[in-house]
Amino acid sequence: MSHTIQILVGVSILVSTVVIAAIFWWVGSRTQPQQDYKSVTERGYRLRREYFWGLLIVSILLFGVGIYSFPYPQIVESRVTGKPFVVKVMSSQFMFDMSETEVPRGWVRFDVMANDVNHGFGIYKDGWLIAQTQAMPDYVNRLYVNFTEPGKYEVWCLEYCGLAHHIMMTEFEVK
Amino acid sequence: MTDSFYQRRTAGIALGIGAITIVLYGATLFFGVIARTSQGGFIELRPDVLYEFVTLHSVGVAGSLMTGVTALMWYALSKHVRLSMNLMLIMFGIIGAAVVSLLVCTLMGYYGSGWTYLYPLPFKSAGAWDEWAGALYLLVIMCVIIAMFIAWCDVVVSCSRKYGFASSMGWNLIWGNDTPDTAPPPVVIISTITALCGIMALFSGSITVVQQLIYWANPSYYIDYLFIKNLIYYFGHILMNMVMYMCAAIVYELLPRYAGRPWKSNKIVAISWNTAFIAVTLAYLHHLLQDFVQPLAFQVIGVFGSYMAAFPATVVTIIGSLILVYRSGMKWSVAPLYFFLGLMGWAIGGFAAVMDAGFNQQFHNTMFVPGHFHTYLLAGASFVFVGALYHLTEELGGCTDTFEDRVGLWTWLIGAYGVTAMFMYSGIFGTPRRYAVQMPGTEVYSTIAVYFAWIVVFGVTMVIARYLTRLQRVKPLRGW
Repeated sequence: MSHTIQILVGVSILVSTVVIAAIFWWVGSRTQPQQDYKSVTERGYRLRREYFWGLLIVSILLFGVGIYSFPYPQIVESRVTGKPFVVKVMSSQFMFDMSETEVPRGWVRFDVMANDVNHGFGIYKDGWLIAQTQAMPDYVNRLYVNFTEPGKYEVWCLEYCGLAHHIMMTEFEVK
Repeated sequence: MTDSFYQRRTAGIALGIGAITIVLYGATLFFGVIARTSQGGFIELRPDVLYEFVTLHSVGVAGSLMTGVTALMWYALSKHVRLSMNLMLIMFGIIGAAVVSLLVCTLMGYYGSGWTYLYPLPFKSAGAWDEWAGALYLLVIMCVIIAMFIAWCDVVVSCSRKYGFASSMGWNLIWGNDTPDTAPPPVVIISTITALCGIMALFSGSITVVQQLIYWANPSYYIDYLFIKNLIYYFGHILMNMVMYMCAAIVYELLPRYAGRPWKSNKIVAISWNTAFIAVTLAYLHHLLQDFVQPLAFQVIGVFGSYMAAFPATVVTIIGSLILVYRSGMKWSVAPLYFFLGLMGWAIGGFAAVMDAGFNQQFHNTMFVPGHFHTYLLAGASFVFVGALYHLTEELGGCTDTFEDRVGLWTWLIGAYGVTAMFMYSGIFGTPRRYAVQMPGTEVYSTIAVYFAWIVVFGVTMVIARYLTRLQRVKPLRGW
């Protein structure tokens, strides 16, 4: 499983924090000597225009990547090859009841439901969150996951559901 | 009542409300630190006690910050608009009732859903708390709704009465009917837009409370789970964002006084804040990105709105503040430093918020979420709140900064970024939020966070002590 997004976001958070703090420090340490406000605004507005266009381009790119990687059935089903293996999941305080605990490699569809309150269905492999959806009464959320690595996977609840929320977990195996 | 007397009296009330709310803020922050200390493995709280503490912390900090910031926004508006002091005090009284009810439902009713709860958890706790505690918690939310409704209605009505509704919303600037010289100042435009946006969210929140109370009285009453989830997030998301927007209004009014430069309304400011109104309204949908049954168009709009929200905040407000202070000749006292660093916290936390919305599958309901909102609340809005309180003691009491004031600021800052960094990176590595006991293998982030959390406690305690000391220099007004 790839953790590219997590790693890229982790790096971008660090870089953005350093850059923003550096900009604030740079500006904040240059309040002296006083300059004419008009000349400062002219230069500032020019930089602001450049920042605006830069932000627009980056936002459009990230928005496009985000939409492409949407996990919703309407989008993912077009990429699913063959008939997916289906697992029905009923969530309740504080357990998951899964129709299958062994699934084959390839596309698996989890039909996730709940019968009391809202829960979260988060699939973990080796400590990394690889996919998730919500479990809500009266609705079925269909989550498609393409398993390429065999082994043990864990499921943890990702929506606070009460006192034992932190121990609401189960396991399944990809053969 | 003369204008200057009115302004001083408003400042006095803001100071008083500020004193009570900052103490409440510190006390409820402490509950969060205790909960985090337990997550870090230094002490062992029972899960029920931990979730009660988390509820007291989240609702207490959010409520005290919102109340304090509202009072300070009122003060910031007082130079331009006459607001009702009686309504301000009524609003504060209702918040007082909410605080008492919160204490009863958590400490006596063992209620522990946290600030963000989803229907029907208040009434289906698997025996952890009684249903009456859930109902009382909903009444706490209703008190907040009523209090903020009074506050925000007063802002919209008072600003509209003086400048006209279209001018107060900045529309006349956009249409060219106002010029920067004739338009209302930014604090009026931002406050009006914020108040109107907030009022819409309050309607949504009140519907959720009433529906749930009906369900409590009559369990056969059906509420659509997806519909109420949308309403709850629309309410909660906007309410917390409006805290930051009210802070922006305060900064637009007070930072120029230190910079010695005007920060006037213009077409760009008006467009940006009207854009912010639309963006923040759309962006609530990113809270439901893992609800796959939500219409696909809503998911696209949710992500779009989140990216859109970054534009007015950074392009106009944050860059505008940098332009304002650059080569202004100003000297950094503690108050403007808080404003400046508060905007920095907004920028850093805002970037993480956009990442959360853009790549939600990896971060939803992980520790990344409290990571980003703690950044713009603990190191953003809270800084503006404290900065405005310090400003008031400067203005009314002639207070000057001491070494302790600066120690309070920098320890708070260092502690806050340590806490939020641990939240964010544990979230990046998959740690779920709101776990009484951390998932195996993820405890180390909580352990490190505890050290920073106690640095925050030190900083906040010092700030509160210094603020209360500075307050003693403010002389009461005659005719009080």
